[in-house]
This record gives sequence, C-alpha cells and structure tokens, in this order.
Amino acid sequence: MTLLVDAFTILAVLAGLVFFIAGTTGLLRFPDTASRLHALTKADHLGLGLIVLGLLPRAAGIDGALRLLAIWGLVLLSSAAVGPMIARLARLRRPGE
Amino acid sequence: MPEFLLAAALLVFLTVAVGLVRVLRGPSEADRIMAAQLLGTGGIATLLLVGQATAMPALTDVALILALLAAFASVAMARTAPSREDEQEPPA
Amino acid sequence: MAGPAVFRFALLLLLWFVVAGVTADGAAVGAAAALLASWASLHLMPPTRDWPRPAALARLLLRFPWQALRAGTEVALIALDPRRRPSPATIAWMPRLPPGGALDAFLAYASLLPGTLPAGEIADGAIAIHALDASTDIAAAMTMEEARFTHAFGLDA
Repeated sequence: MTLLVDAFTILAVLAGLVFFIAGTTGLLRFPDTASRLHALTKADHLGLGLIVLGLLPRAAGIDGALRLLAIWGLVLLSSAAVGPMIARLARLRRPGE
Repeated sequence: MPEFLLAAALLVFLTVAVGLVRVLRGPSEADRIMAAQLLGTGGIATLLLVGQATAMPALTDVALILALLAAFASVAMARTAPSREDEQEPPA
Repeated sequence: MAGPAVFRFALLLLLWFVVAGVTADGAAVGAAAALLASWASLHLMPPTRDWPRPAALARLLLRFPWQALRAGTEVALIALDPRRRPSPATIAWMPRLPPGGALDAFLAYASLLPGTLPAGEIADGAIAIHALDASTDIAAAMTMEEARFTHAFGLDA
C-alpha cells in the first residue's frame, strides 16, 4: 500500500517537475512577452497542480488535503485574474505586434 | 521518500531561479511582473515539497501566504503600471 | 439581499475552515474575517438575479483539470521541442457578453484554457486574444467556451 502511494507521489511530482522545466524553457525561448506569459501561467500551474496531486495522499487527513487543493485553487484564481492584465500591458507596450 | 521530495524541491527552485534571471532582464514591465508570478508558483511548490519532506506542516501556511502575497503584488504592479491613459505614449 | 449575503458568508467561512483548520479560538477570528469579506464582496460584486445551473457548473469545474492538462502539455511540447517555435498572433474576438463583471470573469477563466490569453479590449467591444498557435480557429473556440460559461452561470437566463 505504502509502495503504491510512494509510486504515485513520485510519478506525479516528476511529471510536475517536467512542467516546471518546460515553463522555464518557454520563458527562455519564446520570442514575445505574451508567449512567455503562456509558458508561465499554463505550464507552471499544471506543474504545481501535479505536485499538489502527488502530495495529496501524504497530507495529514482530509483537512490537510483540502488545504493543499485550496492553495492550488488560490494560485489559479489569482493568475486567472492577473494574466489578462499583464497580457494587456504587454500588448499596449508593444503596439503592432 | 524525504530525499526524493527534497531533491524535487531543489530542482523546482533551480528552474525558478533560471526563470527569474530571464524575467527580470525584461525588456518590458510585463516581464518583470511575471517574476512575481513565477516566484509565487515555484516558491509554493518548493515550500510544499520541503514541508512534506521535513514533516513541517507550518510550511504549508507559508505557502498559502505566499500565494496570497504573489496575487496582490501582481495585481498592484499590473494596475499601477502605465495603462489606458498612456496608451499613445511611446514605450520607454 | 439577505439570501446572497448569507450564502457568501457561509462559503467564505467554509474557506476559512479549510485554510486555517477547525479550532475553537480560530472560529471567532474566522467569523469576523468572513463577515468583513462578505461585506467587501457585496460592495465590489453586488448580487444579481443570475443563478448558476448546478449540473452545468459541475461539468465546467470537472472539465477544468483536463483543460489545464491540455493547456500545460501544449505549451510544454512547444517549449521542449527545439525544432518547434511558437507562432503567436493576436486576434480580435467579439464577445457575446456585455462589458462588465461577467465578461471579465469569463476572460479570466479563458486565460487558463489551452492556447488563449485575453489581452484587453481593442475597440468597439472587441477583445484582443493572444494565441500561442494561431493556426487553429481561436475565435470559434472562444465563442464556444463563452457559451459554456454563460450557461453554467445562468447568465443567459
């Protein structure tokens, strides 16, 4: 049983790491600000989501698990609100892109 | 397992550090605001992993506070950066 | 007025308990915080007559992890494959929703969906959408998501 949980954690956290690496690669490679924003909001948030998923079975009880999910939810909510603001700023600063 | 989680935390931290260098170099304000977002997401992942690895649940609360602060910091920066009124201004 | 206020207070208090844990001395602080937060939310977002459709809303929420997975994978594939470069473009998209809180909420939601990133209003109500891969029909996809969103939140009632 613990072996199964360990395997699940390792797989999910590793997958999360891949997306964090992809996000940073996107930040380094993508040519324009808005594309970099895609890399940041989409890849990194999936990375965090997968790491949260991997830690869920190790959380202290149901309230610990709910708290982890609440953190992911808050990050998503705030980045959803901020993403369009930053994208708009990027567009206004570079007209005609 | 704690060793694995700590290694993962270190790796996330490294990707954040590399990303931060890129993002802080700009060129636009939008890139720099993204630093707050990057530090928020990556920092939270790092804290959650370390908290689990070292059995320090208090780090989860730190992650939670980081989530809130990163949100407010980004909103404040995006709002105070030159906006609609300066639309016609050439970029600095 | 009383109904939405009580509903929001209950939700916020629930969030407090999830985040801070259920303790006796924490409950009073949580109640005070939830009260202040409901007051602020009622001022910033006055209640409307729209009421979400629970089934459609549940579908929207359950679809979300899948969407996040698609969105992240799409970006990751472009970022990690050295032969691929993003072919970004900004398109103009005409929303059906009138300008206001509901449209802003949808645009925030759309920024988490695969491939799309709203970037503010252009002119005459059209919204700039930044797409990472401009080869697909972004406008049609946005309109479809908007319909799903309005239906789930009962904005088309």
